[in-house]
Amino acid sequence: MPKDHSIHKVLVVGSGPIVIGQAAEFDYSGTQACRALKEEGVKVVLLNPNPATIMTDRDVADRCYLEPLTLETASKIILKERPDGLIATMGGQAGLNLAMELHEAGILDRCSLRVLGTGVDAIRKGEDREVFKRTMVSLGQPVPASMPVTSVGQTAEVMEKVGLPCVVRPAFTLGGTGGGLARTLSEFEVCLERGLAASPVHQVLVEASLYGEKEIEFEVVRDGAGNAIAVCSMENLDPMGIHTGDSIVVAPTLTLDDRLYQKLRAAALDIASGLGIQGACNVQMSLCPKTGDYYIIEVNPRVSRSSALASKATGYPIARVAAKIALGFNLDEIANEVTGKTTACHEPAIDYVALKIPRWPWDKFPGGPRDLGLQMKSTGEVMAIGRTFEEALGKGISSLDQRGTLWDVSEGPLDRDEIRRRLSQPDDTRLSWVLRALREGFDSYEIAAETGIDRFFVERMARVVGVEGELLGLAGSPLEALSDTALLRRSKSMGLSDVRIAQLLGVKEQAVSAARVRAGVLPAFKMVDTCAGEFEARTPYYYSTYDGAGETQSGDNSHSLESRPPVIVLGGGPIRIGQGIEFDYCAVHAAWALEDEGYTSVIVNNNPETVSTDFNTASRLYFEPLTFEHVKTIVDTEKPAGVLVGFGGQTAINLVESLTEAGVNVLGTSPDAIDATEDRGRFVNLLHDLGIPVIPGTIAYTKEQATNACGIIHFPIVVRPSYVLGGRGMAIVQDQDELLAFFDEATEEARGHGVLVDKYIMATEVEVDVVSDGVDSYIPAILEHVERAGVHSGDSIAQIPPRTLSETVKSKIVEYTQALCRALPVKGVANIQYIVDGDTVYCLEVNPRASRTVPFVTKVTGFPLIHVATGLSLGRSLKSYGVAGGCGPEPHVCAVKMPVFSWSKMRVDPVVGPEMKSTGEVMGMGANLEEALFKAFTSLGVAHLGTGAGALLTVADKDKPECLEVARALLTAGWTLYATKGTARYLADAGVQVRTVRKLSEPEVESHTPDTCDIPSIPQVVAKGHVQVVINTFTRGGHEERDGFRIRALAVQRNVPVLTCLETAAALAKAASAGGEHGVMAIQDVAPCEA
Amino acid sequence: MRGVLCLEDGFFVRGELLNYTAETAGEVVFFTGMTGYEEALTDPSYCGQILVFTFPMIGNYGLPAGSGQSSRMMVRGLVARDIWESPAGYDGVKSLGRGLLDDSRPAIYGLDTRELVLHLREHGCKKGVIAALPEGGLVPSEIARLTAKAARFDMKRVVEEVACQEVSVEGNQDSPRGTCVLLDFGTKTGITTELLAMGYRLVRVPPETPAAAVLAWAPDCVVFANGPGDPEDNLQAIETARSLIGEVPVFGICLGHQIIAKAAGARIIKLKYGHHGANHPVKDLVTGRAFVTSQNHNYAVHGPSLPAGVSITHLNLNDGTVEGLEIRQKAGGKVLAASVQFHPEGAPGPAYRQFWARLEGGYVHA
Ligand SMILES: Nc1ncnc2c1ncn2[C@@H]1O[C@H](COP(=O)(O)OP(=O)(O)O)[C@@H](O)[C@H]1O
Ligand SMILES: Nc1ncnc2c1ncn2[C@@H]1O[C@H](COP(=O)(O)OP(=O)(O)O)[C@@H](O)[C@H]1O
Ligand SMILES: [Mg+2]
Ligand SMILES: [Mg+2]
Repeated sequence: MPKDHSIHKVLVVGSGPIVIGQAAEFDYSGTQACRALKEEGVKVVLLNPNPATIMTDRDVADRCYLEPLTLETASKIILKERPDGLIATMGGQAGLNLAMELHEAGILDRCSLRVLGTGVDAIRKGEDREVFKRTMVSLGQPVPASMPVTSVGQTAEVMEKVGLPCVVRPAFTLGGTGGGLARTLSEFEVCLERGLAASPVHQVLVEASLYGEKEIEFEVVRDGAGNAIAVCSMENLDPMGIHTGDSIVVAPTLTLDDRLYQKLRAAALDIASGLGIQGACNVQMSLCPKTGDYYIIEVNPRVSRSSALASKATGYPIARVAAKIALGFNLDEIANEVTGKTTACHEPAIDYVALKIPRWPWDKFPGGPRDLGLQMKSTGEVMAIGRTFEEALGKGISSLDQRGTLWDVSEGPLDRDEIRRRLSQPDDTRLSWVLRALREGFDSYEIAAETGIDRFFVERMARVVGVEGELLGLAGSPLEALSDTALLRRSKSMGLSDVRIAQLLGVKEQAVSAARVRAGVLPAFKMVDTCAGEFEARTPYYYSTYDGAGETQSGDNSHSLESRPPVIVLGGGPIRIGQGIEFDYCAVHAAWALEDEGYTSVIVNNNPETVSTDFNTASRLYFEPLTFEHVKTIVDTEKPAGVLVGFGGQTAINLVESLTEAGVNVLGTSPDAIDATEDRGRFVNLLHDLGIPVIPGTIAYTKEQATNACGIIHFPIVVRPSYVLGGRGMAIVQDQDELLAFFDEATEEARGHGVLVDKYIMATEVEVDVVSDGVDSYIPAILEHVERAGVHSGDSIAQIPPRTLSETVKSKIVEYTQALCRALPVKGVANIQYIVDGDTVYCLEVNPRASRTVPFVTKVTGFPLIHVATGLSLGRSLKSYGVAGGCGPEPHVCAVKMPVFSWSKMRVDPVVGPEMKSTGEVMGMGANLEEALFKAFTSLGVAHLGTGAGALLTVADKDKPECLEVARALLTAGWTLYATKGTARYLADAGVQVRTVRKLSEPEVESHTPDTCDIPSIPQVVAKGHVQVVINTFTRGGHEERDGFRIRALAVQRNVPVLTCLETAAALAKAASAGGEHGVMAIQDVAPCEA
Repeated sequence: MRGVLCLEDGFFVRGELLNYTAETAGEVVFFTGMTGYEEALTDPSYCGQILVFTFPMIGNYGLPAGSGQSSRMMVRGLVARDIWESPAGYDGVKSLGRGLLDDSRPAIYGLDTRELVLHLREHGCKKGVIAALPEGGLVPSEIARLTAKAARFDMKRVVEEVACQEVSVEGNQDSPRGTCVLLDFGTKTGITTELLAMGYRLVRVPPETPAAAVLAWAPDCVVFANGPGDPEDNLQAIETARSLIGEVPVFGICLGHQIIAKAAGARIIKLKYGHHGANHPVKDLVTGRAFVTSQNHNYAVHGPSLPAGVSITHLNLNDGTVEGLEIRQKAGGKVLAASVQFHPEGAPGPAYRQFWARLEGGYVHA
């Protein structure tokens, strides 16, 4: 069927903030879908409160609403925009849920809004685990024995029907939240309780355990006529029981013979057809390779993390095709953009191996529970492409951008039992343990048995370890050894990086690189073309491999060197806390700006979830690790006019030194200026010279120096290593003991750059993003943080325009910013953070690069920050943009950016502090601050905000006066307040009506007096849904500390937001005071500020 | 041992040899399936060919029992980026290396197969030789010798190598389904398995069998199956097909499809580098449905040359070549013959049940 001409306007629902389990992949898919729809002349209305996305740009959708993903808001938008169709499958779980709510509330029918592509029936069949099982059975597809459970009372029945071991999988949760494996009855009871709590509908599915079987996925695309293809198959190295989001995954499957493969493929297509998919879906299976028996685990009737990976692994744009199908096209009517000749009706043949490795947040939370299981914990992932598994694995490890090289996490002597234990208890370091076990001579059968990783992969890794051994044997005679080019070549095709080879030989990376280049051992760049070379392709999508001839076309006729010189943009790599999707936003805009400036844009990145690694984004894409070795090779191939390092976060900045040393032209702010911002000594001198107040502090290299410094500046102080992003290894310390404790950890991180010891200033934090040509600079907006300094800027609510800053302070900020930009000088973009204490404006730091707030500022002010910054980096002047300099006017709206956390996945204590912990953000925009806050808190998941929700208050003594203000405001807004004894008494004394609840440490029945008897406990009020927010400030020491910890953990388990900072609570009260009725506003309706 | 694959046009690549005993010539073609080397290597249609795998990792899961499409490896030689000798998953499965040894086939690996594939794509299918690297190195005279040797390779007699020489009968002797006569040019096990599973008494006859001898079996249908090489080399079979059409329902697969088309008067063309893979999209022009097929052929039916009465039922969505035909008594009349260029049995690749459903009737419905 060709295009359905009755569709003129389509509502697309995005996935909201980045949380673990729902990340940048939906920006990639959503952006692709919006573009595909617009291509067909369809108007696109978008709903997504995440400002850091490309899809929410002014020119991606026709009407973009950065509003909460709630029934109420969506209804308002539908009534206002009157779209003909809704696409529910681009916004992850959030998108599906909202579409189902709209359907169930009858809004779709009432507004004659058709669900395009995969419809509500198919969504229900895929999403409701019970209906799903029934559907599979009716299709003749095998599913494990299971039983839906809604109460702990059903345990006996479960034991009879399903038995042990079993897994508990909560209904309607994301990324397996609350799921778990139970081997014993007592484990089961714990699991069940946790699972029921995590499910919004208080329902779990208990299923026979398939732990240890092989996990396989298929990405299927099916059109309205019923034509279906399997775009890609994927094999998890990690067995069933480790969430696929936390598994190393290869594409295509490597260990399935054709009969087995075809059997599973046919099953996947049958399922897509049985569910009535019209678009994309992901089918997850568990397989026993010995018997060939399989089970269907789940189907995601939408695009997903896996579909993004499959798209990048094959070059097949799944979301784009799904969007066209939604408009009525059939597969054979959609062109294959890659070849330009064939159609979307074909299954990609690939002639390489693509491998994904998850990136976990434990470098930031060393104390977190690192075990891997049914619940996903990784924040991001890398993909690497090689001609063999070994090569892809090695490149994947290099891409992780993690301290050390992961090859060698586990040094030092260990007995075999310990290694065996580490193999059988999976955590994020398991790959290192497999390698370690191989080095220790473990048998591949044993490793396979302990880990559940197919012996095939283990033996492949053994090959790598074998080559490592050969290199290690040559340590001591380094350079002669490297003249053995056969060994060098073999090492490289095994994926060993120069860094790793150098480590094994005991020499410097540069020595290996030089010897390698001298010996002519160089990689070639090959093309990802969807067809294994069968057809000529036009995709400018490359990967490096130590294998034969290259295929890059730099300097060819279409991009002759003279007319459009290439410029390389370095991306940000895997998403992690502190370096999120915002940097992808920046890299993508930089690439687009380059094209506008007459250059050929070249992106280097390794994150499969992102828009930047869509082969359509830049003129050329290199899917490569962001290491010196790989970037330098690309530079040697492309011979670019320069490299832009300011848009890929700290990953890119960290390459500046080595690239410069190697003679690469780093564009924009000079390497020396970058160093001046990062070297504390130089930075402080610069501030002194410019007369900008400096926070009293010093660098300490030893504990003694630190102790001495504290004698002068007095506690509390802030300690942290220099050269890190996201406040890693940073803490506010109150006394000498804490100082010494933190010092050890910090020095290790500091990589010899020293530890900063600063006076802690408890005041207002402010930041600006500035564009500068080194002479003139322009600040589109000043962002004031709601939370006091000490809460990481990334974890604070930021507001535009600022609320409390005096004119004097504002002009100081502008003046200092301009002075800094001129002195350094900044050429491009920088982010400067200040602490405002009275009239004193301290400069906290200068980040010589684009920052996390750039997309937010761009969206609110309409000023194309990255576009201009790119031009300035290339040498243009600010004046040439018609921008005078100074500070932009305050916008016509109020906007806030609010952090979003993934506490329920990470299971770390949900307390904010100087280390960044949030994974994403939402934006709220309105006529005033109250409205903006209202929308942001709603997006955060605080229900009934303006109509009387409930809050539980339990705060430290020092915070009680401040808490009183909050309580009063909430009460006025119609909220019901609950508080623990001390807090309650304080509030009651001040005349605030509050209900007392029992703390967890307080016994159930204290006395038999009637008034204490019916005091509910915290779990009771939380579980009954009386409480929409928990406000809890940190109390140090004793049972108070433990109580606080348990209350927070309970709230997290029940998905109730926890506010641990009173400024945040005050903001909540402000939002609540704004009442329940708010209009909706498209970003296109906000006039851009005049620069 | 180091070796070389040298093409008739002088292009050569060096690699490692496995199970090499003597210089081996063949037609060099590439296969794009990511699984299924076990089926491709044993597919008689690849007889005379040196098979290049575009997927770089070959041998991962060995040679699973029962996966062979004939009793032995049929390719002249194998070319791969990487060969794995320690099969995954099942213990006791035969490794690829062992299979090469048992069937005396050489392999060359550790070379850039993609570069080779791009060459074949640009310059068309070429004949080539797998040889050991000579002592004195690859001097120009040596390359010239190998080039000439490659060019001399002759595909003419390949059907003889793989077709049956005698008549044989399998399956249910008094089958209610009836009798199917199979003209065997080197039939894949996948095809005979399908026919037997339907319950046919299967009579396998040599390619030279004349129509009268076929009809003597009183068949309910006749199948012209797959096989290697150029259809034009099978003059007797073309003649047989011409006589059978109209007498008995006739079906064709791959080479058989080409023979039927030729019998109906169509021209055959040689494709630049053929279709060898498991991902070729085909459209059924009757239902409008598109699906992915398994393919292995270097020749195709020239669409415009088809005479009246022969209609195209399937087209390749990649290059528009003919993928299926029907011959009718008259327009809208009874169907006398139906054939497909692709492999409805899959192996390797996806199966296409609709074709077998037609055969199941023993009669070609409209
Ligand atoms: N019956 C089971 N036995 C063992 N592991 C399972 C079982 N079912 C699911 N899993 C594991 O749990 C993970 C998450 O389950 P899944 O249903 O895919 O949830 P999600 O919606 O989070 O993707 C899977 O990737 C798989 O590894
Ligand atoms: N001297 C200080 N006084 C108060 N708060 C501070 C001080 N130094 C840092 N902070 C807090 O720590 C956070 C992180 O510090 P910052 O230098 O910005 O590190 P990062 O590189 O992670 O952004 C800041 O956002 C601020 O809230
Ligand atoms: Mg899943
Ligand atoms: Mg900061």
